[in-house]
Amino acid sequence: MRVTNSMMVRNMLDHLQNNLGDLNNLNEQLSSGKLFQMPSDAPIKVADSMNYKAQLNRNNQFQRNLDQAENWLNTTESALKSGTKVIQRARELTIYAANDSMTSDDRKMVAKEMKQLRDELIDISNAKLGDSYIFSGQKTGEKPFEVVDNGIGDYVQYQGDKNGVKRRLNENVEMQVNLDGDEVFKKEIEALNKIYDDLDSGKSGEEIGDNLNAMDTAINNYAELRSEVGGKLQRTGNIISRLEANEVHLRDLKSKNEDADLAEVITELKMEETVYRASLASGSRIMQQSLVDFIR
Amino acid sequence: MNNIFSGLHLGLRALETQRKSLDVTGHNIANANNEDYNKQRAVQKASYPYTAPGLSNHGGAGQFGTGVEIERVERVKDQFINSQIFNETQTAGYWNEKQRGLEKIEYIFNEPSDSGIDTAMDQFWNSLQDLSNNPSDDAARNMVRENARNLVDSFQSVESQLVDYKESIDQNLNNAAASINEITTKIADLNKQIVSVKGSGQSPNDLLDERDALYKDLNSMLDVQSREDDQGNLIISADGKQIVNGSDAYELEIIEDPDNADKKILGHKKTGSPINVKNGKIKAWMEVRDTIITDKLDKLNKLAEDMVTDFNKQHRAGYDAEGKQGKDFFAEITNSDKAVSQLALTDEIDNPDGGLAKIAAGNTVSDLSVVGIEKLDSSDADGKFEIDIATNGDDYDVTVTNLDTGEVSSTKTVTEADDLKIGFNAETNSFETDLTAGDFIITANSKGTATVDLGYSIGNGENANALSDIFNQDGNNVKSDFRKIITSVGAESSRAQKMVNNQEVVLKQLNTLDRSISGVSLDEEMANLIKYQQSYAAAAKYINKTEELLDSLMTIV
Repeated sequence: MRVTNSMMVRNMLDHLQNNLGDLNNLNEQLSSGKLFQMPSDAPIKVADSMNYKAQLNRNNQFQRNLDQAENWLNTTESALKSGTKVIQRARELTIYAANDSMTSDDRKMVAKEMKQLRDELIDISNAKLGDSYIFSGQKTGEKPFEVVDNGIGDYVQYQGDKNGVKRRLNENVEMQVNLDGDEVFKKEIEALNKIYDDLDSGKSGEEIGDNLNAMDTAINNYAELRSEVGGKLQRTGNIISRLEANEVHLRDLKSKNEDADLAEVITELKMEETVYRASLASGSRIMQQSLVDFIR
Repeated sequence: MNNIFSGLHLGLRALETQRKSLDVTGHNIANANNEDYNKQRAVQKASYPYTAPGLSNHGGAGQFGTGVEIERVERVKDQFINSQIFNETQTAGYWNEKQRGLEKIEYIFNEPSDSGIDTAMDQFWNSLQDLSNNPSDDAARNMVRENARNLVDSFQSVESQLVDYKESIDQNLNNAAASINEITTKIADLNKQIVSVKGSGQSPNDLLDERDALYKDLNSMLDVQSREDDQGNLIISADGKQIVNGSDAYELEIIEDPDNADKKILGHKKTGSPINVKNGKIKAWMEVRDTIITDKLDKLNKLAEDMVTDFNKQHRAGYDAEGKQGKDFFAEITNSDKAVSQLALTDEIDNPDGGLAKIAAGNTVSDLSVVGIEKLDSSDADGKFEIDIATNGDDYDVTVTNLDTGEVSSTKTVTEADDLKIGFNAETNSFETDLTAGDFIITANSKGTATVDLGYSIGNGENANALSDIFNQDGNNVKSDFRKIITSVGAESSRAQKMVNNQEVVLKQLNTLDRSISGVSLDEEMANLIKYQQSYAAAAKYINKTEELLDSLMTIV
């Protein structure tokens, strides 16, 4: 094939263009740290990238949800713990007051403390997390118990509802984080109120002693509830660990998908540079020679 | 007669011919860098010999040659490769412009990034999840509203850029028509000159080069066909309509498509008929404008409309901070083709005074996949119910148990014709076919049992959870549909890139072949220079010798 000078120049320029193009690509990869900038560079990888990004986002959100759930459960647990202490003290006082050697006046003194204990339990039941009452079911804006004082067994009225407060902890995983205030505190408050009333109104030691059963039941109840809440906290802890491990895994996958291996890119860049310089050198040598130089 | 003076003439012809050949060589050298130039050659031919047979000619040895002359100045060009180049230029023009268009569309969508529609959807999902954790918190509600506004903005920004780009292509078409007309006018002019030169028996080589270059430019614009007539005219037609005939050029203009008044296409001014362009830049522009952008806009609009429909449906199924049944969150889409431009929050939600409270975060139903409940504004029912849905062929059987009283209602069958809806009166524990009567409307979704608590609780964020599910990653929904759009844009653009590269290679090969045949090689021309110069010197020597002969003759006398 006949080769002319302009053909050679054109070819050299084309090759230089190609090399520059490759250098440019590698440079972009190096400066951005990413293998691709636009969907057309790698359509499937872009779709995967978007997927991983969204999954990481969801993972983070679920971790936030879990933090909230754990706060709720912890507050519940601590309320139960305080409640247990109150009832244990009440039990002690009941045993003390049930003693036949106590006089009516003595018992009236104990009644004063019992009254405090009763009010303290009501306070505990009105526990809040931020702006929400945690024992009112879904009626988190309202105190669970209102004092109505309609006689024995009807001292307080439950104002909350029976609905569960659920939190989404992971894809398709929901957990109820609250306890029904009515179940947890109503009987116990009424029981304390009855003991107070018994002490204050001069009931006999035997009648006062009958209240011990209620105390025992309450303490057992609280122990069970605490173990239930503890179990839930255990579960949330597990889920958090899983989510954290998953996050690491997702970040790794995302990085493998889209990050440029800097060592590889730099090596290729050096190679391309060499090729470019070689083509520049050879092109310039060849371009310059022609018969014109040799004709006198 | 062959005499001494004929020798002088012979020498003269030689000088003349070598000088002209040198001129042609000089012309080649001068045009060595002219891309459109095709090498010319002076073809030398021996001039007519002497003697011609006749009565008055004497016998003896003959014929004697009379020297050399230039037969013609030849233009070295392979017409076959030339026509291949024209065809491939059309395809190259098409793919180049198509790739640029697709690249622009990619920039408009701006994915993957932290500021595109995808991220906006993720942030909206986040805020809905936060709302479900804190339905009584105004800050959470505010975030939901802000992120919704952001989502609308993202959609609308992409849509308006696409529409703007679509309109700017019409400007391209206008410019294209003007430049095509310019080219055809020039070609017609050249035709006239070429014909007159050819008519006088000469080769209009440089004019042909110019005409070919113009024709190549024309080919990058649109697919044209041409033929050369006996006189040397290049007759060009596009889609069967002539645009150059001899020295006449027929203009093209931008007209409205007879089938679709909004669409501008190329038309033939003289006949008034549209030109169907099948290749070249113009085809690429029209394809980007009419097919590609339109397709993406359609998909975006459908996405927006589906999102609004699904979101509003779920929003209406919940209740807001005041215990009222939710209304629409997004404004209704009245024109599917303009869904994105109609995207907006409803006035109620957008209202700075009380709008936040209207976000329906709570839901009365324990399992939304089974049943949906809409409490009527007029009702003040407060109880709890258990709703049982059983399948009955294609229909559903609904039974309601009042959990407060224990009363079980009769069983009612709801059909598709009723939209699977039936009203219910909480007081009488019976069904109402009139959906505006009673206390709430039951919509059967699937088989199962769910509890309903008509009393409203501020701490219920179930509906916010359900709303966030619309933006889930899995399944067929808004997010995956959007990802599909991005993937398809990326794939199309990637393919266009490859085709552009392919065409470059093809054209390069053809051009190399063409230049190999018709390009000027300086080495060759240098050799020619020496060749002709030496022949000239030799011819001059010959004249010198002949002159010496004459001198000798003169001295005899």
